[in-house]
Amino acid sequence: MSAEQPDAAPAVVVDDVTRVFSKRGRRTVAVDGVSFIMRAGRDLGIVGESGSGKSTLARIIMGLDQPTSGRVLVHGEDLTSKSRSRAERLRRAKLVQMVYQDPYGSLDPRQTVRSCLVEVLRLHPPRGGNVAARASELGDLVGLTPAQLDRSPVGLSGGQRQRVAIARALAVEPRLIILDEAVAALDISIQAQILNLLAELRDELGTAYLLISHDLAVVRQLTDDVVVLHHGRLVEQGETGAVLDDPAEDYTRRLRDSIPSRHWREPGMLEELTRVG
Amino acid sequence: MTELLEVEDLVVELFDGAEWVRALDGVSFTVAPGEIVGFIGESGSGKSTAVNAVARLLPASARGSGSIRFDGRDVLAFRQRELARFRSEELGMVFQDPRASVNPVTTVGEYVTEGLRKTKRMPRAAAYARAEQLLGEVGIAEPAQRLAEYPHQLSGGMLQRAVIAAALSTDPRLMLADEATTALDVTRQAEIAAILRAATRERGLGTIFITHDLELAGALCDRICVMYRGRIVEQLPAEELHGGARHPYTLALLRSRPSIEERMPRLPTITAADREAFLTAPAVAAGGVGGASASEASTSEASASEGGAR
Ligand SMILES: Nc1ncnc2c1ncn2[C@@H]1O[C@H](COP(=O)(O)OP(=O)(O)O)[C@@H](O)[C@H]1O
Ligand SMILES: Nc1ncnc2c1ncn2[C@@H]1O[C@H](COP(=O)(O)OP(=O)(O)O)[C@@H](O)[C@H]1O
Ligand SMILES: [Mg+2]
Ligand SMILES: [Mg+2]
Repeated sequence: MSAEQPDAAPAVVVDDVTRVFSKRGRRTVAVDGVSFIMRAGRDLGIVGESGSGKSTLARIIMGLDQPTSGRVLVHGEDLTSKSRSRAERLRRAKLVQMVYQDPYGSLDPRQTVRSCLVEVLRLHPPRGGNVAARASELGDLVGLTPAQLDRSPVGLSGGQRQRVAIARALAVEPRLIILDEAVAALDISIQAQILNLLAELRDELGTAYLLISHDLAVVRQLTDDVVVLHHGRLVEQGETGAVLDDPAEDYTRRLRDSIPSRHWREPGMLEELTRVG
Repeated sequence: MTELLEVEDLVVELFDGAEWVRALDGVSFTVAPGEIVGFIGESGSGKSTAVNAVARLLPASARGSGSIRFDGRDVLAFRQRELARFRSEELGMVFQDPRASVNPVTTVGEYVTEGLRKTKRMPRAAAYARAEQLLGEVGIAEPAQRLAEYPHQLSGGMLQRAVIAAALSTDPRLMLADEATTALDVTRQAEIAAILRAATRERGLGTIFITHDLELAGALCDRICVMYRGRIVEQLPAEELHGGARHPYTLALLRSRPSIEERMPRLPTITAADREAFLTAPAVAAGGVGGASASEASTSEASASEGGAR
């Protein structure tokens, strides 16, 4: 149901957002006057090299960090400025959830995967209210076996842990999931399964994705629109297919041409691309 | 052609605390000087075990059989001193996370010159001069300044170049690169690929390049070994990866990768039934196995010995 609704209120509005970090006298402009709109019913990719400000922007959209200036609205709500009552936090959680590249740090090793899901489901009771059944269902949905659900995340592979993180985000039934390099570390076959899974869940549950990735093929597969960041600035935006097929900006073109391809085998190509040696 | 490295019918079993895991199940491959051999396959397929076996870096409890010959010498028979010399003088190693390779509290210079000072017994000043050249070789600007800096002052891509410079410092003959570009941006990845290719060609190194990225292996390497559950299920020239691959596992991997050219309604995935079929499908070796000009006949022979379950 990702049918286009051009007139619907936007899912996310990023309005002239700047985030400056000052640490030991050093000033880093991580995000520099970035504005874009994520339209409702369309998945958005944010691409750029490491350090370009993607995660900072994601944390601001999540409400985990405050912009130095500018404003972010998620489904019309300004997540940065309100009081933090428990009810408010739970309601916000239903707006947006995040899945990180390595969920290891955010998963409690002393807890089984199942109890981790159950914990989230207690806070956000599923329709019908059957927490145990929903935990099993979520495990099933993301392709974890019952045996894996009863293990500590420590005993799981990277792909399995990522499934746990996705299941945990889904447990909240958020309108938007931010995937910060969430499929980057996965094996190709696992990545394909997760990308298919995400697409199915989008169609089934109407969840929208804000996908942060340096992998342009993944961005093409999952998103409708794309925003390109470079040193904290927005350099290009548009429909994903159009931007990748025919980048307007040199920087985007360079990103695209750095993707391994058969051209690397032509004499001098790789060297020219990287200006090494 | 004289091979630099010849691995034959290597079996390695590792104890994971509860049971023995057959990490390598009869693996045979060669690496010639000046050649980049790519190892691709999913995590757990045995890629790291294969290169760690070559470097004799497996846990002491590891058991197995087969042979590893480096320049004709029997690596598995090396005693302590010979092994130490083999590792420090003939091997260069680069791993995924450069920050795990360097000491964070000493300068980049101390790290890059370590092999020069200890293995090559160079005086400090000479070692630093040589290190500057090496940093230049891996495309690091203002090398003198970089040598004086600490690892945290360098970006991941820059630090990985320094790690490669350090690995090259002892003039190794075999480079083992295990997911050396996996943590990097595509632009940085392309740079590291270019550096490894230049070093391989110019120095006549043999390079083993492990990656889970098929496109990268196809773009960078000369030959590719596709690993599945401890076996090399297909060996083929890298330029034939697209169009020439024949093993169902290789084909399945190629299909399940998303494309920058188009959005697919659904990515083909690998089912449990597929995985059973991968195990029973005969290994494919297209030329080059144990010789320069293998015919179709020697191909199937190599396949038979490689796929041989015990
Ligand atoms: N908490 C922080 N304190 C200081 N600098 C930070 C902090 N978080 C991010 N940065 C800096 O902001 C820039 C953008 O970082 P980040 O948003 O993580 O980029 P990306 O996710 O695109 O790799 C980088 O230069 C980074 O070092
Ligand atoms: N130190 C170890 N102890 C026990 N089992 C191991 C160890 N290292 C790797 N293994 C197992 O050996 C197999 C091959 O692993 P590995 O060589 O690391 O694969 P890859 O590098 O392709 O991801 C896997 O089943 C893995 O779980
Ligand atoms: Mg980030
Ligand atoms: Mg490995």
